[in-house]
Amino acid sequence: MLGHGCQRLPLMPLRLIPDKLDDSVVRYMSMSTSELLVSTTVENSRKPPYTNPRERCKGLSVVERGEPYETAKAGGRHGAFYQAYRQRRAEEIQRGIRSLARQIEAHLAKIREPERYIAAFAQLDSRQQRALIQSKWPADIQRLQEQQAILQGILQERNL
Amino acid sequence: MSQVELLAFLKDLTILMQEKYQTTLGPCREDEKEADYQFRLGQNFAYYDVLDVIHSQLLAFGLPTRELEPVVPELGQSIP
Repeated sequence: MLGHGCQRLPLMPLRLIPDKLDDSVVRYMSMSTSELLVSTTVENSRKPPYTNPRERCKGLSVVERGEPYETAKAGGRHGAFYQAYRQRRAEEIQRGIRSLARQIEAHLAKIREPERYIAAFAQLDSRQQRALIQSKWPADIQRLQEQQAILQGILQERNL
Repeated sequence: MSQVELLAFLKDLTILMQEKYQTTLGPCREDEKEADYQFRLGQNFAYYDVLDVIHSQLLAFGLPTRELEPVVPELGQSIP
């Protein structure tokens, strides 16, 4: 009886090995930074607006509002992030902005050279490849940019 | 909640998510239907995404990650 037997099997790369990378994946990998950032915004703006329960009550989404800082300050998406940083010194906030910038750079690099970050990238299911390059990493970049905007908003709040 | 309690909570949460990730790993089994395998593949990606977001949020909040590492695996690979 196997039950949850997948734990007992040897762990192997996922199957459905593609002969070559999907054209749309290759297109993303060859984009410049500015093209990727624009693409990130456009791709995510096409998705249904994200709402968390608190925002749903107000009938507004982050995308509709377009203001990560205002949304976080009002207790919506990234509200805890705003509260945590609001109490920190300006130097810590600046450090946070730099850390987020490094994360954004790392994600852009992942889109351009996924094999450097996931050794078995070519062996992944082609849907997983597409999901990483066209959906997950761009969405991660957008989230990091929202957090950067919030930290910049806190500094502006203090006239720094 | 103190920082010690917060880190304890995050550590347990991370381990629970890692266990879920681990149970969805691996190739299609002989006794597994194709649709069930495809579903498991999607689950595996979702748990990977959750772990990656947890890791990213730890960094964004400036929380210490040393005790929790490695938080996020390489997609499709076992957590060491």
